[in-house]
Amino acid sequence: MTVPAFTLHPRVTAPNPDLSDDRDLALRAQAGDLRSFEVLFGRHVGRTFALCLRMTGDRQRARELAHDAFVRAWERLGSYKGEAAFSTWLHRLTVNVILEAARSQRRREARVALADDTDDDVQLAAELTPTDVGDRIDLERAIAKLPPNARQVFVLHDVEGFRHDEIADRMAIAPGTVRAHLHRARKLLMTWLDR
Amino acid sequence: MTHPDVSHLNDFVDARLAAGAQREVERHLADCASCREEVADLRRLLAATAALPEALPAPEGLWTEVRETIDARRVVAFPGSRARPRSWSTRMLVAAATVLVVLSSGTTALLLRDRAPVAPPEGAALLPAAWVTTETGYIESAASLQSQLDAQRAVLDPATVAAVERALATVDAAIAEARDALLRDPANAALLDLLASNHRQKVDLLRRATQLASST
Repeated sequence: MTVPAFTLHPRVTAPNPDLSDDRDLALRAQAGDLRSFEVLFGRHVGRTFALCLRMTGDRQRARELAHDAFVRAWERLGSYKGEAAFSTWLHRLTVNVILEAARSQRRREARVALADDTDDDVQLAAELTPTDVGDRIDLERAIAKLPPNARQVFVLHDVEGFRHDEIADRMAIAPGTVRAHLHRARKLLMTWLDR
Repeated sequence: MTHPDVSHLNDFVDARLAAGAQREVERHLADCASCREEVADLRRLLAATAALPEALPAPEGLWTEVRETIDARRVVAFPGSRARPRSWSTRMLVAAATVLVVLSSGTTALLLRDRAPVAPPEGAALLPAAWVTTETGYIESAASLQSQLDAQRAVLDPATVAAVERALATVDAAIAEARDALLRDPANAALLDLLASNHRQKVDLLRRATQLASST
């Protein structure tokens, strides 16, 4: 059997992925190492799933979006240059995946009927059954019940710390609309949590 | 000052008002209990929001789904390459197979060189659980692709089929060699990486072969 003319020191050239930092893992994953990517997945899936769940208010949809986010992260690892934290890069990529999916869904719905968040108050009032009132409504469940646009703006601003102009840019809406969605979300949450 | 509207109070809480307007609201709050209560409610909400856990338990089985999708999409392009999958000629396919086989087997030999013999473990239970899961994924992907290739065999030139089968046999031997070595030295991270690399190369070889068959 032909032996290549080079030497290799196994314990130096192949660190254990479980002990590597995110940047090293990402670089190894860029070279096709799926095991390193699996370690990154394990470290970041909780935060990614939390973002997806809060932005959608739906566990199944959140699972689908978290799946899509990690698949896209794998496919676009080449764009990660290691300058920012991997978690930051992944987080922003996930936000894009979520907002793109939301835009696609809105376009599909727009073909059927002209829908707007302003109609959701009636629906929300109907959804608030007696078991939802009082102390049993926790903040997570209340966020999940927000109208979609208001929920997305609230999560991005108040949970994730994005600025108004960043949200406006990413959601392709006017800054004034961001402000209106944010204030409406807070008002609804305070109302529901105060019952 | 008349009562600020709710949006104004939100902007006040977010410190988004100009300095003068911010001070004006502060003065109003000093005299207005209802607006003070509104601001206190807002701040309680923001404090509760800030206290939400950053991460939540993810659904079980999500990694398996992600890995399956990655495997299904990974034709010839590795991550980082945004280029469309390339078409592989028979000559390129066989050349690639030959190179990877030589490298795989040779590298295993190098990794084992000068190492004291280690008593063989009883089985794969000694390997990292995460690796066993990953390896199972590779084996499943390879089996699925092998089935596709078997179904497409008739459209390929017999000489190509023979070349691919020879290459696969050698890759399988390289996998077996690396795995055997790893079972004797489970802590050897380099052997683990080598075995993963051999599995990936087998899957890639099968993908290229099925792609070639599809384009024929």
